Order: sequence, then C-alpha cells, then structure tokens
Amino acid sequence: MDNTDDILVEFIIEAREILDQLDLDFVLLEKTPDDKKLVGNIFRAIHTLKGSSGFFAFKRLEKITHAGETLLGKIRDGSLVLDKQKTSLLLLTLDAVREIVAAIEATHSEPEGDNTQLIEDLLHLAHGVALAAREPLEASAALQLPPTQLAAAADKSVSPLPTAQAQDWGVELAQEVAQPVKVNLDLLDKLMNLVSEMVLARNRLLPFVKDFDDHHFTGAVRNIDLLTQELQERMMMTRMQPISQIWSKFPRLIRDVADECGKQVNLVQDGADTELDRTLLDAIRDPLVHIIRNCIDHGIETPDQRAHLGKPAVGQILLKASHENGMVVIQIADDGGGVDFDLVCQKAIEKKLLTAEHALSMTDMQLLEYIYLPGFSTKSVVTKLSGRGVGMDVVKTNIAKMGGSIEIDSPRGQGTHICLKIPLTLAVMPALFVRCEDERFAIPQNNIVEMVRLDLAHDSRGLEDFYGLPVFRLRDKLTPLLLLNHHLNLSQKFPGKDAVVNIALLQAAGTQFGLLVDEVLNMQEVVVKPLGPLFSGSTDFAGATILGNGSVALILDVAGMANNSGLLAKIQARPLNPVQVAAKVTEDLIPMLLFELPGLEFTAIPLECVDRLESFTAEKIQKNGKREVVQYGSGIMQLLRLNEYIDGASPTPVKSQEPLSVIAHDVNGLTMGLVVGKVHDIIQVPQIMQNTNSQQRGLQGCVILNGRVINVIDVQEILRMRRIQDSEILVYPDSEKSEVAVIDWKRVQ
Amino acid sequence: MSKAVDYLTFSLGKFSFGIIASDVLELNKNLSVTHVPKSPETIRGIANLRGQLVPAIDMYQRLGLDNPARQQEAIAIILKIKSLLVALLVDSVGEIISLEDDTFEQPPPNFPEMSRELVFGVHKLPDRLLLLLDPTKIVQGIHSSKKPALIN
Repeated sequence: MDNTDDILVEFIIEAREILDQLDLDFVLLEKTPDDKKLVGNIFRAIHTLKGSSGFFAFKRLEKITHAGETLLGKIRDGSLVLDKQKTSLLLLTLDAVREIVAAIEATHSEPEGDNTQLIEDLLHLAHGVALAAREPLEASAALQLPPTQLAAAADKSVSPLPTAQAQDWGVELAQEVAQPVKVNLDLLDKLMNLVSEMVLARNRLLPFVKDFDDHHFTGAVRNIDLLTQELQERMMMTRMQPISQIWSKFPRLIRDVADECGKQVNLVQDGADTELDRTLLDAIRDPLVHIIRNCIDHGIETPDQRAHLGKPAVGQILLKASHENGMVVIQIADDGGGVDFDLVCQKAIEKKLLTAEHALSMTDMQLLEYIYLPGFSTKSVVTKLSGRGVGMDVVKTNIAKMGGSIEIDSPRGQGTHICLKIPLTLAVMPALFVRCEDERFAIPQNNIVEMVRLDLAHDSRGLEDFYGLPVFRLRDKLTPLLLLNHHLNLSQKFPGKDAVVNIALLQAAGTQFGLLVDEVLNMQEVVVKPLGPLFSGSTDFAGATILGNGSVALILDVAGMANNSGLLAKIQARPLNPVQVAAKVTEDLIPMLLFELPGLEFTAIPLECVDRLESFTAEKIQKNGKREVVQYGSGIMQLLRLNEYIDGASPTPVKSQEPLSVIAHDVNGLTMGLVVGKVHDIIQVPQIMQNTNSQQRGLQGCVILNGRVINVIDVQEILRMRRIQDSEILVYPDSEKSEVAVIDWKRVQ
Repeated sequence: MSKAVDYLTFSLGKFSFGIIASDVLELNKNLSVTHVPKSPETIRGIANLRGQLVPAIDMYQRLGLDNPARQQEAIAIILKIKSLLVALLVDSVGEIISLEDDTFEQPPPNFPEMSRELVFGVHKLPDRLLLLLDPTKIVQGIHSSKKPALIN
C-alpha cells in the first residue's frame, strides 16, 4: 500500500465515523431543534467532510457536502428553522454521501453518478424556496406528526447514548481529553500473540527461582511475573469493545424503519457499555438489526391500532445487554402484539408443514419453532422490509455459529421478548482433547453431545457394518461411527472383539455420529488459530491451538469430517433408522428421563427440563434459611426434594448416607436441583398422555410403556408450588396449561 | 556492471542451495513440528513460532530429492514470503555469501521441469555449484506439487 492509499484509508475511516455520529445527531436534533450547539457540531462535521473530499478531488462528494453545508449554515445562524422536511432531506444527503464513501472504499475512486436533484433541493430549501411537488420527500414525509406529538416523543426521548451524551461537554473539554488512538487490527493481533508468548516465556523462567538463592535475581523474576500478568490483562481488554459501538446505529435505523411502516417507536437502551470481543460484535450486528426490524414491522402496531388497544401511541423497544455467567446476554423486547400464532399456524398448514388436526394440539411454544424454518414468513406480500422468509433462520444459524443461543418468549398480545446468549469471546472456546495414536486433537465443545464408553466384549452386537458404514448401537438406535485413525490415515487398526472403546458422540451438519478415539483426555479452553493458506485444502481441521508447553494441537472440524469421510452422503443415501424417522414425522415420541422416587417407582421428567445430572454427598448440603442448598460451581443451587411435592410419593427423605442424585434444572439463570432417587434411563414416550380423571398434585399425567405406568411430573407446577411455599421471586414463564403435555422437544432436528 | 546480492547458503544431502538473504527472517534449531494428517507430502506439519503458526516445508520432498538416511533435518530457515511465514527444513546452513552477476548462469536446460521452476539460476563457485531458489515458487507450487526429480 503506498502513501496516497494510506491517506485514503484514513479518510474513509474518518468519513465513516463522521457519518455514524451525524446519524445520531440528526435524530437527536429533530427532537431538540433549538439545540444550537448540536447544529454547530453537524455543520462542522459536514465541513470536515467537504474539506477532505476537496483534498482528494472527489468532486461529486464535494458538491453534495457543499450544498448540505449551505443549508446547515442558514439553520445555524438562525435564518431558517429545521423542520421535518429539512431533516429528511439532510438525512437523504447523508445517505448519498455514505453511498459515495462506500464506493470509494471499494474502488478507491469516486463513482459516477448524478446528484443534481438533491443539490438543487438543498439549495432551494437553503434559499427559502418551496420545493416543487415532484420532490422526492413524499414517501418519508408520509408520517406527518403533529408538532405536539413530536414534542411528546422528544420528552420521553431515547435514553441518550454515551456518545451523544458526551458530545455536549465534549466541545468544552476537547482540549483536555486525550483523543483515542486508532490502531491497526493486525497490529493488535500481533501484540496479543506476543503477550501470550511472553506469558509462556515467563512460565519457563519461574522454576529457576527455586534453584537460585540470589534475592536480586528472584526479585527481578517476581517483577517480570507481575508485569507480564498485568500486560496480559490489559491486552485482553483491548479486544473487548462496548456494545454501544453497534447500538449507536440503531436510533437512526429505528427511525427509518418506523417511518416506512407508519409507526412510532421509541428505543430504550440499557447496558450499552457491556463489553464483548470485537469479532463477535461484528457478528451480532446483522442478527440484531434483523430482530429490531421484525419488532417494528411485525410486532409493534400502528398508532391507531395501539390507541384502540389502550396502549400509548408510541411503541417501545427495549435493548438490554448484560454479562451473565461468562456469557453476554442481549435482550430485545417490544410492547407490540407479539407473534401472531394463529397466522403462524395457518401458514404452517398452507405450507404443508403441519396438518390441520395436529395444529389443534400445538402449543404456542411449538409453533414458535416454525418461524425459524427457512422460507417461512407470515407476511403475504414481499416488502422491502420483510416477507421473503429469509430471516429468523439466518439469525438462528448465525447465533449458533458463534456458539450462542436464542430464545423467544411471546405471550399472546403482550409483545415479544427475545433473549440472545453469546459467549464473551470467540477467540477462546472450550474444547475436549482426545488422543489418537500418538497425536492429540481438540474437539470443539459445542459439537459434543455425549461421551460413550463401549465394552465390546459385553455388548453382544458391538460394532456393526451397515452397507460399508461402521455403526454402533446407542440406546438401541443405530449410530454411524467414524474411526479417527482411519479417517486421518494414522493407522489401519480396528478395535478387537473384546476391546473397550471410547466414542465421542458429535453433532454437526444436521446429523449425529460417533467418533472413535483412543483416549479421552481433558477439557481445556483453547485459543483458535487459523492454519494458514498452505492448508486451505484440508477441511478436516478448523484450526490449531498452542498448548501451555508450546506444542501445537489441531482442532477438528466436525462438520468437515462428516462431509469428507462420505459419512454424510452414506446416511443420506440410506437412512439408518427408518422407523425412527417415520416416528418423527408423526411426532408422537418425546424423550424423558426415567427415575425413582420413594413410593413411586417409575417417574419421568421431560428430558427438556433436564439440564445436567449431578450427584452430591449428604454432607455437602447446607442450609440457607429454611431452604437446602449446595455449592454449585461459583454459585449455589437450591435443592428441591421432589417427593415432597408429588402425590403418591412418600415424603420421607431419601436415605442420607447415599450420594443424592440431583437433576439440575436452569430457570432464568437460577439452578434448581431436583432431588430424586435412582436415575434409570432415557425413554421415548408417546406425547399423548393418559390423563387420569382427577388431577394429581405435581404430575402432568401418566403414560403406559411396556405395560408399566410411568408418572410424568409437571416441573412448572412443582416450581409454582415451591414459589408459593417460600414466596420468593422465581420468574418462570407461565404458559397455558393444556390437556396434552406441553413439551416442545426440539422437533426441528 | 554488476550488482552484488547476499545469499544464505544451505545444504540438503550433497546439494548446495542459496536463497536471497533479505527474505530470511531467522534460523531456528529444534523447531518442534506437529504433523497435520492428510496434508500435502511436502508439508511436514505446523510449528509454533512465538505464537504464530508456521507451516514447515520438507525441502527434500519439495525438491524431489532422495533423503536416504531419512534423518531429521537439523535446522529450519524461517522465510517471510509476502506476508506468509514458512519454515524450510534443511540439513545445515552455511555462510552468507555475496555474489556478483558474473558467476550467474541460467539453470541448465537439462533440468527437470518441476525443479526448473524453483531454481531460477545457478552460481558457479570454485568448489561447488550453488542452486538459487525462488521463495515464492516454493510456496506456490505446493498444492499441485507432484514429485519432481531434480538430478539423478
């Protein structure tokens, strides 16, 4: 890159910053049109742009900014008053400028184009000439707010962003506040690398302290130790950036989208200073934009409808970010109509995804899954904003790609509440290390379903061959198997008849398969590094990581392996479990965990409610008031003795000598531990339950399986009883109780 | 009119090679290389160079030379080719010599085609023939590299 290019890049960065700031300023200015300081800021920003474009001889840009400056000048010196028409025109100007800057960025030269119309309009307004009828503002002027309403909206104005807030006194302090320095991202990454190396070098140095008595030496090493640690911490901080970086674009976005839909929307932001890794920041921008558009376009009603429903005319969108258990939680809530479940249902039937009689037994939660399907849209007409059916599926896959999750909660008529959970950083991810022959590989944790240890000598069937594909039986289900040593050409060994083998059950690319490895090692957080261009041909690896001792371990790309090995193609050609597939189509089996309670031998809990299984010895149990709690990770887990809440179970506690089996169930960030007797197995039970005539306390109903009556517990009711009992705040989404079990088992899979 | 160029010399078996010294970042002994399964044969694996992953190229394989002893090469030459770092695994590294154009010759026409791509010229030294390697070509050909045969 030569010198002029360097300067050009700086110009583009600067122009983008100015444009972002201007977006904010204009929206703010519309609400407080008398703010002279704000007008001054805008004027100066446009002026800077004009100056730079003159320097690069970007004639078109210069002309537009010049015209904009003329209009702003008049507004600044008070000879003109800013009104809706002028704001919209100025925003149009901004868009034109943004377009040109984007083109300059792509081609390094100014694009061809004609803005005479825009420039004329700007100059007309500047000279107080009314615009002719053909002027292009009709569309955006459609939403003519009476001035009183505008003022009202301004009063309850957007909770100002830090940047917007700062600018008021930013002018006065400009001399004293140190300007942030722009640093090239590559340089930051290199520094990051060096610091990691520094840490390793320090680790090698530390053992020498023991062998030397020289306190000058030990002192110096201690010093290096401390400095390295601080250096590392500070370095990590440079990767983290506040979420306000992307949120700052939303006020403008919301204004534009709301205008287009003829709706009024107010944005409330909370936690804009929540920090996350900058690569993730980029990755969540599009999903967030999409969700917000959905909120405005689908969720929030028109002012008339809202008035009719007795809601305030201006809709609210709440954006909230916070840190929770090492994850960043972003919540987007609106006070609109929520998901139109009847319409979703109708569309699903239209698209033959659902039969009419099935639709009757669908719960809202189950219907929600349909909006994640590709090509699914409730809008009958394709508009600029929505209706193409590309949307929530992309949001979901994008979020899943970064190891996050999405939850939608939409009580009918009460708005939508979307909760995104994403990891703090992409650079570090938990991975499981396995050994195969003499080499060590890491498997990303989000691909791992479970670990299986198979004793081939005692398993009568062992490994089988299914049309050239090795398979094994996992809970009577044929599961394809990939032998890591074969796949990577490490050896041709095949496990003997009486071997004990380790299998990692993995999921990727919409399928599950077992990976046979020699040994399962440890779980560790790893820093992912790309392998580089010379290995671009190998799709078996997602990258590599450097271990504490400086050696390199490869990270397996699970989806890539499934593809390369031909396993995926083989499964698609011959479905392994045709019966199961048929069962899935009729959707009448759901998995449950079977366990014992004192007095009730066969009790089951929907697997969906089981987050983890734990076991505690009796002495671990401590008291918090009248509640029993155990220390769990860094927090505590409340214990709930299930037998006390269920009719038919004997209330005497489980024998205290034995370790307690506990089902961990996460409720809105709290972990409840359900104390049960012996845990048996996972079973598949019909979804339609036999409801006994009289409702039994704590039970949803029962199912008959192999001639045994299995009681299915009602987790929500039990939690509700518990809540009433100790009247504590445990927010649990109450969904309507229906006759049929309300279990949404990830039907999409 | 001749201009002197500095070359780092290294050897593989009985052959001497030269590489333009300004492309060389550093020399590294005991670079531990992790094998990457199913990668091209010319790549021995990947190594950690102060936190950066660097592909290590088996120069015997790359040049199609026989390595009868199958011994581990003793030293790695770390090159920076454009923005890419690579490690060339070689037997030993000699001195840096400054050579002028008057000993330079085009590679002999009887060179096999594959090697001719890598060797852009030779210098006839009093005691040996120095084969000059073009670093970009070393990396470029790696995906398509069939086994070239240099000299037999």
